[in-house]
Amino acid sequence: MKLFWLITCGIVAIGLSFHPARQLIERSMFWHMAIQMPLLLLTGWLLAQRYSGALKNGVIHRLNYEGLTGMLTASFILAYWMIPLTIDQAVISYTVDAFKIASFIFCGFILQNFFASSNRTVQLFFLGYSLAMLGGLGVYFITTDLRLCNAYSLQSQILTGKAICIISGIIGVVWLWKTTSIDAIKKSY
Amino acid sequence: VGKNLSQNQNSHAISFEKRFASTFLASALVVIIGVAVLYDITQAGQSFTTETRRRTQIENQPKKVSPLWVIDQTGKRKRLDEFFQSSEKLWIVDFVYTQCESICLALGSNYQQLQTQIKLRGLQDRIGLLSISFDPARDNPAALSNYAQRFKIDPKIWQVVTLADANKRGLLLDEFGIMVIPAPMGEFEHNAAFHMVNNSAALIKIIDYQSAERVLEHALNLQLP
Repeated sequence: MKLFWLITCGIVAIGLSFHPARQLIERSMFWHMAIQMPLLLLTGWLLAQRYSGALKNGVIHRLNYEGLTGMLTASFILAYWMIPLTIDQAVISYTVDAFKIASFIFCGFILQNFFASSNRTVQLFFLGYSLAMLGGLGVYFITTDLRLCNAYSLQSQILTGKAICIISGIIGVVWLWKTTSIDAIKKSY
Repeated sequence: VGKNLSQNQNSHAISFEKRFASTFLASALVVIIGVAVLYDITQAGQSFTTETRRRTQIENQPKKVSPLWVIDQTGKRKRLDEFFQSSEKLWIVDFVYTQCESICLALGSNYQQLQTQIKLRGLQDRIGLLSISFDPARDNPAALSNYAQRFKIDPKIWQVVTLADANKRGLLLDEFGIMVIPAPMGEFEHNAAFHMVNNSAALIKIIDYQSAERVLEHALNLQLP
């Protein structure tokens, strides 16, 4: 069943970059940032659930104590795609778009590994700042009169801002739910 | 199994310090690369949007205008680069489509104020205004002429032109860094600004639309030898 979701998620996420579905991400910031990007991350996440054995041993394992290196890499990838001009570039250029797809899937892969191998304190630190950053970006999208991407209208920017706030809220709640569940607490003692 | 387990624990204990050190080095490398990439893409933290990026680029490296053919409201053809070179004026260029009911109206009235100021201060020989239509399909000379009447354009100060060859639209927009997106009801949404072009036909500065006084101040500063 997991394989089914991985494949479905991957096809939808990557498919959005190809015609005719590409129109959606070309015309709407919401489809681009609030649907395609999270789906790409999820694809990487599901991929890691299946094949993360690759990171458990060997060199990567040595370089990634408590998932720190992975966390930093993921943070920089996410920060990169929070810069409005990179979003414009991904709309205009297929090369940048391919780079976007690869980097988001990679980022999702790393993040799954990070959450599977780090302790709650490090996770809280990571989520604390990245969700605050994401939420802040969402509020900025909603409140500013500036059109941040030349490729998108102000209207679609506001909608995206709202979606981003909701997404960051959901991630926070899911994490809390998972880490405070009886199973998780039992496991940690 | 027991032997295996103890071996594992053993190797874990031994490699802890090594893991810590190599993780530190790897993380430091990631931070250095990450900061360098972000530094580069934002041009040292100066530009986070495409709009600020293109402005910074133009200021650092003025861009020559291509030889594109345009038509004015009287139907006369001119070559854009020669047009800019044909006088000593600094041209303030904006992009419009005459059917526009939103941002171009703001730009239009802004241009009207500029026209008034130029007249009042006697700057006709130093500063010119040029509106270029990016909608050559609908904006023929008649439409331009209507636009000129609507905004009471004085042709000695303010010129309106459209592209002679509609196929060159992409080239024109790329050149000035304008991104046009179709909006409902046959309208367009586009980034709007004042583009300063000097008499060597080089695009030298792009500024936000703002009060006529400040735009003229910018333009006069640019004109100083």
